[in-house]
Amino acid sequence: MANIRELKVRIKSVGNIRQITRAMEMVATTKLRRFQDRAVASGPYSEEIEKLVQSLGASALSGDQVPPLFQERAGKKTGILLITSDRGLCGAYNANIFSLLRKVMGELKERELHFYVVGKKGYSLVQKQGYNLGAYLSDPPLELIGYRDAATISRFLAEEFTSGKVDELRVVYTRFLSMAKYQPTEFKLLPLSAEKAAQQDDGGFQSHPILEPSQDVIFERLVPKYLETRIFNLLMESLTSEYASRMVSMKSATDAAGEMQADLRKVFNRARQERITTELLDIVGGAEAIS
Amino acid sequence: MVASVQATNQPTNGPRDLPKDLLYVKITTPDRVVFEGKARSLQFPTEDGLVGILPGHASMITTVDVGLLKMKLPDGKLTYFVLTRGFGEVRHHFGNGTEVRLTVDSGENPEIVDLERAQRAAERARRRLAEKDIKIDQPRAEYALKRALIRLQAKKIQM
Repeated sequence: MANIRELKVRIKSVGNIRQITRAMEMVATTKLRRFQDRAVASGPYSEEIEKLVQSLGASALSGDQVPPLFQERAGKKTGILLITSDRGLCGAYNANIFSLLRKVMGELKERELHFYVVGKKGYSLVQKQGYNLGAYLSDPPLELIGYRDAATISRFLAEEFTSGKVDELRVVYTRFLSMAKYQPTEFKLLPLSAEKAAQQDDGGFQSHPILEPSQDVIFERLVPKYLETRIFNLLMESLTSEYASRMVSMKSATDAAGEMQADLRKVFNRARQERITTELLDIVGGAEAIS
Repeated sequence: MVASVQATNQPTNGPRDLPKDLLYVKITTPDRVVFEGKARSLQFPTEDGLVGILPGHASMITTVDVGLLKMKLPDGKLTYFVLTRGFGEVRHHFGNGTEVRLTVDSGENPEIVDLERAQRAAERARRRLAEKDIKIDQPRAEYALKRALIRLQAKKIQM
């Protein structure tokens, strides 16, 4: 029966798919671990910078000479930093980002949008929809981005903001909450929020430190670093979410393939049994006819 | 990224349980924590010149410039680190130790400084500065040259 042969072929191909998705799951798992290590390695640095910003922010931002990256502007141009993945097969990861993006764009209808895109998927969306592309940040690819590359991106975005190409910069990225939870999130990155920077921490040490050369000079140096660490963290969070999402979707694909294989095998066995039965009946019938 | 030895001496539980006559020092870069441990004194370059820190120093926040950090460890030995730009914070905990936190772009033990690379970088920076091209980023090239020279100097001290 042709049916049986067909079933056999299907069982085999489902099995092959299962092997592939399983391998991809394993690759995603190891890569995920590597990215987490990378994010963790720069954690202390981000913390130190943040602490410094907090201990200086309150007084540095209360004066009338606020650093440019903190200045609110009235203009109509909004930059959107869109962080997506380079590759597919990561479940609804990109689709979730895009649906958030549509919502955000609905809210920003009045404004002139410029897109700064990380990830091939985001780039092809922007191209297809004919959105206004500010820059495609494709070099190096997200997977290989280190702190120094994030710093370069940060400098570039800061330049776009201070030169007036955009009056504010919003980020659409995926926040990493846990291995099973990641959430597309949007917030305003530039101008930097003075409130957030000015949260005081009291470490129980002598405060009112000596400031050399001066508070403004130190703070001015600090702000770009602060932006760098934030952008690096955004990129790392997105990347971690992408791989967590890929891992989960590959796992469910593997599970689904396994189930499908079991179901098909059942059907196959039934068909084979049926064939044996009919064959037996034929033989028995033939033997009876002869005798 | 250069893999390297973690030059950390005995770990402490932070500055609070430290005797008054010691510093708790932490040097952090974007790649990792380069050094965390105790010291008797240290000296590092700021934009306004060298600053020496002894236990009991008043709280201070300052900018760190490219240069050589010199640190005296509890056993009296000297160690050096090549620092590039960043920030330095001194926290004076009353009645306890003094904390020195350096948050810099890079910090290297002279042992791991790549001599050839530094020489190449110095040469490249000199060449760029010699070109009378308006397109070059003068401060950046000067910064690169300074970094390279400090690395070479560190190598000499170590030898």
